[in-house]
Amino acid sequence: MKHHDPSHSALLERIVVGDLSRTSSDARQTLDTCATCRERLRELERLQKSLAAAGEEERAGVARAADGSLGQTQERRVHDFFEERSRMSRTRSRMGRLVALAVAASICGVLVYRWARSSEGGAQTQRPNDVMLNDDTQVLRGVAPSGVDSDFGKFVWEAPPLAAGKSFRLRITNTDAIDSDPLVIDNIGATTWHPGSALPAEDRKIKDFFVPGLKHIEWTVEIYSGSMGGDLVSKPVPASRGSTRQ
Amino acid sequence: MLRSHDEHLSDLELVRAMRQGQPEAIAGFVRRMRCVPLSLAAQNARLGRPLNEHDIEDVSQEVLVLIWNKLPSFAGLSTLETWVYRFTSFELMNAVRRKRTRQRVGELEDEPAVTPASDSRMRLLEYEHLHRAIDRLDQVEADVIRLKHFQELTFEEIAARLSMPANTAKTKYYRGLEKLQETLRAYRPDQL
Repeated sequence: MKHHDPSHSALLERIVVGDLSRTSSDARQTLDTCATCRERLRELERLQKSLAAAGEEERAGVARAADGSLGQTQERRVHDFFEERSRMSRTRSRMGRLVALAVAASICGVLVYRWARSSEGGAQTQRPNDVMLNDDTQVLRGVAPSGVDSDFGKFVWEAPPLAAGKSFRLRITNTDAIDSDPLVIDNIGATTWHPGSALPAEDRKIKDFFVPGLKHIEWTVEIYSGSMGGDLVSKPVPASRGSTRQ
Repeated sequence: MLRSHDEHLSDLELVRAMRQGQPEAIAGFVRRMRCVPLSLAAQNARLGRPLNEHDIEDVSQEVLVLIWNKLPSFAGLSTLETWVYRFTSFELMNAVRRKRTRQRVGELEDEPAVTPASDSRMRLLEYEHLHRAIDRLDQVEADVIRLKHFQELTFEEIAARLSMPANTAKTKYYRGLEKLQETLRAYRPDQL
């Protein structure tokens, strides 16, 4: 009597799937000598018979159902069930699409609004063309605001180095207040300005720069012949920007 | 009643179209679903009518709900009627069990005791038990076994249906059988 060998499984598989007859010499040689294989094969074949019987049971059951006839009430019940479910499903689907459309429209609206706001700001802050200075010797290149829009905290502009003794004059105006005095007039040598770096009080006229609700400003940069003023040697170069600050 | 592969695919198409709300598909699907009450009535008759007409209507409604919820999982490996038959069979057996339990605890004293015909009962129990065990297998192994024994396909046909080599189908079948045997050893059928 042979002991069961794991390699016997391959032979069992060939028998079970029908590739090898159990009466073949290979099969008989193993099955005659290995009790484990005989038992396993017997169990698997029993299972195959059960499955075949269940398959037959199912096919017969389906056929029996196909032969039957349905009363009007039962037929109506089935019809109503699926009609109702299908209608509800379509309604939910339409509702889902409407909600999705509404969400998409809202997102588009927000994007368009933000784009409009940014392009509005962009138009205002777009770099102007280069401006020839009055003496025709210097070009004040595109002046553009930068910094934190929410608090108008910083102003930066580009310009070639100033000749000795000359100065920039920054002028900031609240455009929402008609005929108001400038919020800031400041003479400086640098190309950057922010409220904290303001010059001594007598040289600046900050009139409540942080006006509650201040939203839109205009600002200009000019060049003067002296460090504290003197003669204007350039045209004002304007820029403006808005703020979301409430 | 065997149908061709094309018919199975057309059933899948029918279900998809129905779920998309196409009126013709809905009408066609509803016609096909007449098999639900018919199947329940036929199985109940085989069991010696343990459920009355009202019970069958309740089970029918439960099966319709179940089918509607399971529709997305219909893969077209069998006809709609065969797919539905399994639900009707399982739900009918569950309803009979519930009724017997209620009778045991005295809730249904005025109704005759449920005594399903033993031969049919054993066949249906075996059928249910096998399907529940197959459900525990790996999906491909389960599909191969069902196609082999419930659709009576050859391994070559199974391989074509599942887009795999025939030898792979055979291996999946054999491994599935071995696992199924283990599962069946562990879970014996419930008493009806």
